[in-house]
Amino acid sequence: MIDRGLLATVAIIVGVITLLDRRLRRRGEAKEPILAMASGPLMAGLAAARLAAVALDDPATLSRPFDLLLIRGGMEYWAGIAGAAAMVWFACRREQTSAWQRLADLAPFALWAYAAFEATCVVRDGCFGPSSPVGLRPGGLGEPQLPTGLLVGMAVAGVATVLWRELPRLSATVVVAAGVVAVAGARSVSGFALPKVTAGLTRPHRESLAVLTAAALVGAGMTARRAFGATRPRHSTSHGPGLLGLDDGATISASDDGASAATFPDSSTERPCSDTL
Amino acid sequence: MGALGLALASCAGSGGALGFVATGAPLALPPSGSLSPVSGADFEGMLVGLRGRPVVVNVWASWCGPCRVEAPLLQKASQRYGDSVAFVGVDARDNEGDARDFLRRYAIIYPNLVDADNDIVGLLGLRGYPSTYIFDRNGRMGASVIGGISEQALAARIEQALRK
Repeated sequence: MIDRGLLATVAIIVGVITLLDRRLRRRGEAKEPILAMASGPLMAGLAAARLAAVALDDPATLSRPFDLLLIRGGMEYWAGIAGAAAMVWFACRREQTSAWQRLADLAPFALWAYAAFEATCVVRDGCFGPSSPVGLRPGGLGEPQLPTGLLVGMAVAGVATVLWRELPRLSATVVVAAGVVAVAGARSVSGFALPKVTAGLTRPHRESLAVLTAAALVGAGMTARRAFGATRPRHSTSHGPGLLGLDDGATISASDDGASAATFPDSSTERPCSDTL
Repeated sequence: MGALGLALASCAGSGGALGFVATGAPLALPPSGSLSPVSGADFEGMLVGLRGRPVVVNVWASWCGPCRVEAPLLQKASQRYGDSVAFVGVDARDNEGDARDFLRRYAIIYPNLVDADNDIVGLLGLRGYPSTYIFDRNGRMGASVIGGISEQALAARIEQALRK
């Protein structure tokens, strides 16, 4: 049976990203074709998300290759993100370029894609949420429901747009961290609003809360380190392994106005990796 | 906005013989954990016997991938709602041994029926595996979901059936 909702979701996500990419490149704001740049991480992310879901929910399916392809059978969101990030890291490591910068370049597009995914709940299931006087009526329901996915999609798209506009002024680490926090935060909040059969938190909800907590702790640590470092003379410092252990050998240069830029040992200019992943 | 939602949600795998109301003499469900062959008429009788509380009917088969994914969710939901909502599984076009393994593997304890003559899937208007049908307290089919059902979709439809 063809899942029309899933097909429509994929078509809308690819369409949104393609339109954004063409528009931004026409205006000279984007450097590389985003679909070419993201295709490798996307495939790795999908594979990781599906494999993790199968390993957690139905390990017997690991021996049935055809069933592994049934992505409607479940995906683990954060495993997918980790898989995509790992793919970026491997590719950039091979090319000796900055994985953080590549992740930062991809982050706004990944957020727009996620926003489109959430918003396409209208074609997948009608958008569930708490009962509300105004909202959508998913098929078979008589009462309107606040379209949680649609609202989450709008919020995440807003964050993506802000990140895109601020990209030149923010360090790669801040862009990636802000993207992770935005998605984990949106998923954590929506987890409370969505109907569920379980009395406690669902697994995806627990995972997003854990990621949000971890991101908050790392953010607090970075803020504290910056506050501590502010008492010292300003100079270039190696930032070492990043949030995901992505030690790309980059350095952070702090200017007097507080803005940071990533530079590399063998180059005086920022050098994101090429689109050959 | 509501009309848009309704129109778009029609792509979302809803379907089946909505509005179907079972008729006949009331019959009791087989005991929990059972896997019993029944006819279409007996199935209707069981639905009549369950009037007064919402009923979730899930059509599954052991060879169906999405059925395996949603099985733990349905079992969890049946435990959560207890006696306030009845859960009935319908195993169709399946091998009995594989079906019993399936029930054991996912520790499903709500009653399951075997649709030996494909009468039940005909009554329900089955269009794909798995399918889940929600009947209200009056025995009217109020919602159906073709394909794996999400936690949100199941919870929202059960809660609505409980409020009616």
